[in-house]
Amino acid sequence: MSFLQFAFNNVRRNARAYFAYFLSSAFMVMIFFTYAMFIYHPVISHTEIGRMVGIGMVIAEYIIFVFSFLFVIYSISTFLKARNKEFGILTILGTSSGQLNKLVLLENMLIGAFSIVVGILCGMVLSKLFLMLCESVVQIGHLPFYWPVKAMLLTSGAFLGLFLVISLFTLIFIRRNRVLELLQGSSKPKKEPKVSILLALIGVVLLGIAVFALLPSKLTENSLMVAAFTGILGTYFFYTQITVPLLRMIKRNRRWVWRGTRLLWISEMSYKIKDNARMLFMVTVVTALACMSVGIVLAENIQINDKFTRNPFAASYSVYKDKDVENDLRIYEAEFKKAGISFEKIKTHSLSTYVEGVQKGSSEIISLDEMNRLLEAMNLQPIGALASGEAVLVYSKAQDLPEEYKTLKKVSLSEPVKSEFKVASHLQTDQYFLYDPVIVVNGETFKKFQKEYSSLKSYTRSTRYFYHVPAWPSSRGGLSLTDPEMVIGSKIDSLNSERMQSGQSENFMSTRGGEYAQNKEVTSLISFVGVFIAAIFSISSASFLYFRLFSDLNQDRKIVHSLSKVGLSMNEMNRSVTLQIAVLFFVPVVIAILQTLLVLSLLGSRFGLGEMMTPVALTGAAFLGVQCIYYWIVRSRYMFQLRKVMV
Amino acid sequence: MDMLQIKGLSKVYGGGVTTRALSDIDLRIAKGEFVGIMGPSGSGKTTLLNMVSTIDVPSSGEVLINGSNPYLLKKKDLAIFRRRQLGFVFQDFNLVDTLTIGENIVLPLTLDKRPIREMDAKLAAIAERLGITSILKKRVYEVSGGQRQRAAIARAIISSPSLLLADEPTGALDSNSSRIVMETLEGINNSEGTTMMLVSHDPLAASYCHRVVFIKDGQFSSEIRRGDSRQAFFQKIIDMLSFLGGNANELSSIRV
Repeated sequence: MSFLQFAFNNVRRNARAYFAYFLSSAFMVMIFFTYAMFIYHPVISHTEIGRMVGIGMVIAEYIIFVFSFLFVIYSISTFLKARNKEFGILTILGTSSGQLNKLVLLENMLIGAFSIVVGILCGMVLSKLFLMLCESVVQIGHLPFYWPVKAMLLTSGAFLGLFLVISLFTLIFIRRNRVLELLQGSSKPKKEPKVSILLALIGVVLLGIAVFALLPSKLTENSLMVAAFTGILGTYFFYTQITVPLLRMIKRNRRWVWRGTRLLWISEMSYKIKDNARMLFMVTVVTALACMSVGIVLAENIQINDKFTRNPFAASYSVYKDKDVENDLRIYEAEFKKAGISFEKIKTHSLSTYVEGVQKGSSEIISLDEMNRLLEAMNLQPIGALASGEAVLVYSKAQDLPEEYKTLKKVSLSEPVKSEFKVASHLQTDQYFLYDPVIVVNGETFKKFQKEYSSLKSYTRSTRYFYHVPAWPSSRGGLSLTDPEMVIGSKIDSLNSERMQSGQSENFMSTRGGEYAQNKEVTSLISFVGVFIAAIFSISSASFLYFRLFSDLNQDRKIVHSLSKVGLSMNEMNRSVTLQIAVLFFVPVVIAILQTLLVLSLLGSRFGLGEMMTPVALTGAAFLGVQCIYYWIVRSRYMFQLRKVMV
Repeated sequence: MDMLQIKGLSKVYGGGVTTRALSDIDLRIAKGEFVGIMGPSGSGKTTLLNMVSTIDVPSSGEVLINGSNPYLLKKKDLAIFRRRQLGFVFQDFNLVDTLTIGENIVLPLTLDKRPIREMDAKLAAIAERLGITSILKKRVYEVSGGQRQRAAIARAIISSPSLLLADEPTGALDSNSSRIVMETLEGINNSEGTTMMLVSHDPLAASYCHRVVFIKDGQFSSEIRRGDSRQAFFQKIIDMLSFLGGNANELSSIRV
C-alpha cells in the first residue's frame, strides 16, 4: 500500500464522514460556476443591460468566493477535530509530521478535486434551468445554452487554489496539538468557557460606536465605513465575549434556572454558543448582509411604485432649444397616436428663483393660468384670483420640504430677481410634477418677471410641455412591463435619447412609463443577483449549523444516555434539545434582523429610501420562514439520533 | 421488608442465535442491606443490573422495587420512577461537563421542580456528609476521579432513593480513591439506611458489602455473608472467585 493509496482509501472508506464536507464544497463550486457561466455568456457580455448584469454577477462571484473560503476552512477545521484520535494513533505508530501533513494535504486535494468535478457537472446539468430563470427575471432576451470553457477554467482554477491554500492552513491546526491531546480527542471534559471582561466591554463599546456612527446628523462615507467595521467586530465580540457573562448572569438567578430542564439546557447553551461563536458570528453577519440587500431592493421597489403614482403626467418635455420643438413633438406624439391614445398637452413657462430664509429654498414661479390648467388635469380645485403682490405656494408631501416652508406667511425671493409676496394660501398636493415647489403669481406679475428674466441666463427660464393622458391614471399600481404605457413610454424614451445623442435635438423628453420600466429592470436584476446570493448564504449558514450540531452529536448522545438512566424523561430531553437547537438557529437570524432594522431605519431616512419597516419585516419574515424549515429538518434528524440512546 | 424482590427472572436475547443471558434468578434485598453481585465476565451481572435499573425488559419473571413493578409503568412514568426510586452510580461517573459539581448533584431535584430552599439544604447536607463542600463550585474537569465519583454518589442519593445501584463504581479509580468511595458508600448505608446493590469485579470493593451474590453463566451460583472482619470477607471472596473457576486473569489485580 503506497502512501497515495493510503490517503485515497482513507477518503473512500470514510465516505460517510467526508460526505457532508464534500457535498457543501461541491455546492459552493456549483454556485460559483453558475455565476461564472452567466458572466462569460456571449449574450450577457455583449448587451447594454447585460453588462450591468455582468458587473452585478462579478461582485456576487467575489462574495461567493470569499464565503466559500471561510466555509471550507471552517468545515475542514471541525472535521479535522473529529479525526484527532486517528492522527494520534498515526503519530504513535511513528508517522512523521511531514508524512501526516502530506496525508492531510493529499486527502484534501482529493476531496477538493472531486468536488470541483462534481460541482461543475451539476452546474452544467442545471445550467439551462438557471439561464431560463435569469431570462424570465431580468428580461434580457433569449439566453441560449453554450459550452462554458472559460467558466470551467475559472472555477477549477479558483477552487484548486482555494483548496491548496486551505490545506496548507489546516497543517497549522494539527501541529498545535500534542499526541496525548490528539489521542484523548474530544473525550476529555470540556473546560469552562473563558471570558475577558475587557474584551466584553470593548465589544459593547464597539457596538455603541457603530450605532452612534449611523446617527443621521453625522453621516458621511467615513462614518459608514466605521459603522460597518465596528458593527461587525462588535458582533464578533458579542458572541465570543458578551454572551458568556450574559448567560452567567441569567444563571445567577437560581430560582428561575434551577427548575426543570432549564439548568441543563442553559448551561449547555453557554458552552454551545461559545464553541460556535465564530460560526454564529458568520451566520449573523451573512444573514444581516443578505437581509439588508434584500430590504434595500424591496424598499427601492416600493419607491419606484411611489414615484410612478406620484407623477400625475404621463410625459413631460423640457425645452432647451426652441427650434427642435416642432420636429420632436411630431415624432413623440406620433407614438401616442399610433396606439390610439388621446392626450392633452399643457405648455408651461416657469422661472427659477430662491426663497430667502429657508433651507432648500429653490423654487419655480408659474403664472396662475398655467397652474390652474395643470391643477385641472390633476383633478384638483383651481386657485382663485390673486392680487399683485400675492402668491400661492404649491408643493407636495413627497417633496420633503422643511417645516418652515410650509408655514411661510411671506416669501422674499432673492436670486436672480429680488421681490416679495404675501402668501395668500398654501396648497399641499399628493402628487407633484416639478422637482422644486411652485410659487404661483397672477398673470400680470408673471409677465413683469418674464421681462426682467429675459436678459438673464437662459437656464433661469424653462418651458415645459406636460402630457396628460386620461386613459392612464397614475393611481393604478403594480403594473406589468407589458402595459401599453410602459411600452410606449420606453419607445419614446429611447427615441429621445437617440435624437439627443445624434444631435438632432437638445430637448429632453421623459415619460413616466419609460422611467418606471427602466427602474424596474434594474431592480429586478439586483433582486435576481441579491436573492440568489441571499439563498446561498441562507443554505450555507444552515449547513454550518448542521455540521456543528452533528460534530457534537456523539458527546450529546453520551450525556443523554446517562441522564436518561438517571431519570430524564423523553419529554424533558425533547424540550431541552429543542430549546438548544432553537437558540442556535434563531438567535443569529433574530439578531441579524434587528441589526438590519436598526441600520436601514437609520440609513433609510438619510438616503430617501422611504419607510423601511415593511420591506425589512417582509425580508425578515422570509428568512425566518426558511430558517424554520431548516430547523425543523435538522431538529427532527438530531432528535431521531438522540431518541435511539434513550433507555 | 424487602426493598428489592426478583422472582424467576430470565432474559433471552433474540436475533440470529438466541442467547440466554440470565435464567431463573431469585434475589431479595432487604431494606438497608448492602448487596454485591459478582461473577466472571459474561456471567450476566450487567444484564441483571439493567433489569433492576428498568433499562432493559425481562423475558420472564418479575422485578419488584419497594413493592411495585416498574415494568407496568408507562415510559413517561418510568422516568419519574427512576428519578425518585432509584439512584445510579456509574463506572465513568456520567457527570455533565457543562454544570458545576453542585449543579450536577441537584440536577435530579431540579428536574423534579423542587423548591430552591429544599435543594440548597439537601445539597449542603450531602456535600458536608461526603466531604465535597469545597468543590461544589468547581467544574467537572477541575476535580479528581475520586471526587467526581463522590459527586456522582451525592447526585444518586440526593433524592433519597429506595435503592442505590452502583455499577463498577471503583472501576476507573486508583486504590486510594477506591477506598474513599467505598467507605463513602458504606457510611451512607450505615447512617441513612439506603439499600444498595453493587456490581463489581473488584473483590476489595465487594468486601464492603454485607453479602455477596455470585452468578455464573447467567445462573445463581452461591452467596457469602460478611462476618465481623472485612479482611476475612475479602479473602473469602477471592477464594470463591477462584473456586468459580474463571481463569485467574479474569480477576482484577488485587489492591490492598
